[in-house]
Amino acid sequence: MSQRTSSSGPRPLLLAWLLALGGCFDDCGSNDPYDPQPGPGELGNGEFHYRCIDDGDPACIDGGSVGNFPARVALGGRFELAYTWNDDVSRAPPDLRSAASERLRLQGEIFTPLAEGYTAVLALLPDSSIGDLIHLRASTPIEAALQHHRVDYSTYSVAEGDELRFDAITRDGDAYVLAGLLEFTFAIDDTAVAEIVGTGHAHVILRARAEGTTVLHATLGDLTADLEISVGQGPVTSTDPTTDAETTTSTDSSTTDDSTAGTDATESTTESTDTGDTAGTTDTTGGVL
Amino acid sequence: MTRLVPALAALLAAATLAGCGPRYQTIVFELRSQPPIPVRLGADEIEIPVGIAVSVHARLESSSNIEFVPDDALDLDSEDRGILAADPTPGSHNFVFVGVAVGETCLTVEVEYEDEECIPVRVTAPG
Repeated sequence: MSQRTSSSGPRPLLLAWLLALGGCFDDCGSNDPYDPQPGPGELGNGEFHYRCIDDGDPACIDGGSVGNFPARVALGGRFELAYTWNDDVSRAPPDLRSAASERLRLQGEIFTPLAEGYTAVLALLPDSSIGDLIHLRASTPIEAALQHHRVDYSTYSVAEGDELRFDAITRDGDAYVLAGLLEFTFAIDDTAVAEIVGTGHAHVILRARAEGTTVLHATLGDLTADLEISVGQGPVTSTDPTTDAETTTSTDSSTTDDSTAGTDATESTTESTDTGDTAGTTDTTGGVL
Repeated sequence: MTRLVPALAALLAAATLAGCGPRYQTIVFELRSQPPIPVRLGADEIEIPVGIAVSVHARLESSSNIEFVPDDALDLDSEDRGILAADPTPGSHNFVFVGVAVGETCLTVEVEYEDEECIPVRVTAPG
């Protein structure tokens, strides 16, 4: 028998190592969107895993990247958590509990922040003692934005007949993109120019119908993000997510990266001081939160 | 021989009364985790913001010349778990304090199955 069919050769080991290192690079055969990197438990016994409920969560937009454990979650933003022990990944996972249910609600397996600030999540052992814990920070969204491939836009040019997905995200007062699944509503002013052909919790799919200009609105409570859509006969706007560079291959179209709102900050959940990364509008690692 | 037994018993009783073992004096909390917001963990008062959990090792101090050992029974019980939860975590004399809701309560220190004191606790609103 050749080594290629051996199950104990180095290839399975390498694959297992890669999966352990970076999380699931594919969806592992399920419909779950990609999830960010786990956060270490503060007692050092294991890791907390942030699970996006849907790819409308900015921690998992497009399912296209594996980012850091979210530094901040939105008030009202829904998510799930899981936990694995360091000493034995096959050990039964503990029950998770909110430290303060009036601040962080746990319903079924879904967490929802109800109050600003830090709240701990506790990993319980079978005898009800506490095996580990992690603090999550919740913030109030103060602005909304519409993104395509994780870049904010206030105007966007699209070719007639094209379909394009835009994701709605929120930021807090410190410009952190907030994790957690929120429920946006979407509307478009002139459906003769572009129409909504699909929506999710926090994304919309537009189809450009005819030349002209219209505005797409994403609304979350009192917050609204507006995006001017210009439909031309042949414009194609593309964005290089690794460089923030945009190339417009049509002369009659223009696309504006909303750089003022495109500042993503990063923070360690265990650090007492925040550090802001104001260098770019795109988080190339996926750790936008 | 018959006189020796009562004498030994008397000696043992006298030794017990004199404190031939550790005698609770106070408790010292040593942080085992770094909460994102400062907490105050003293023998005279505990102050912890709501939502915050902190892991501590409780060290018992003895007023006699015999120290407490990890095998000595120690239990910390919150008088109101709706305000502060105090739960054990793996390791001798290790606990996690959790600020559950804003309010005041106290933490009973039980050493070798005897209540020694109740430390005032304040769970504060986040700053």
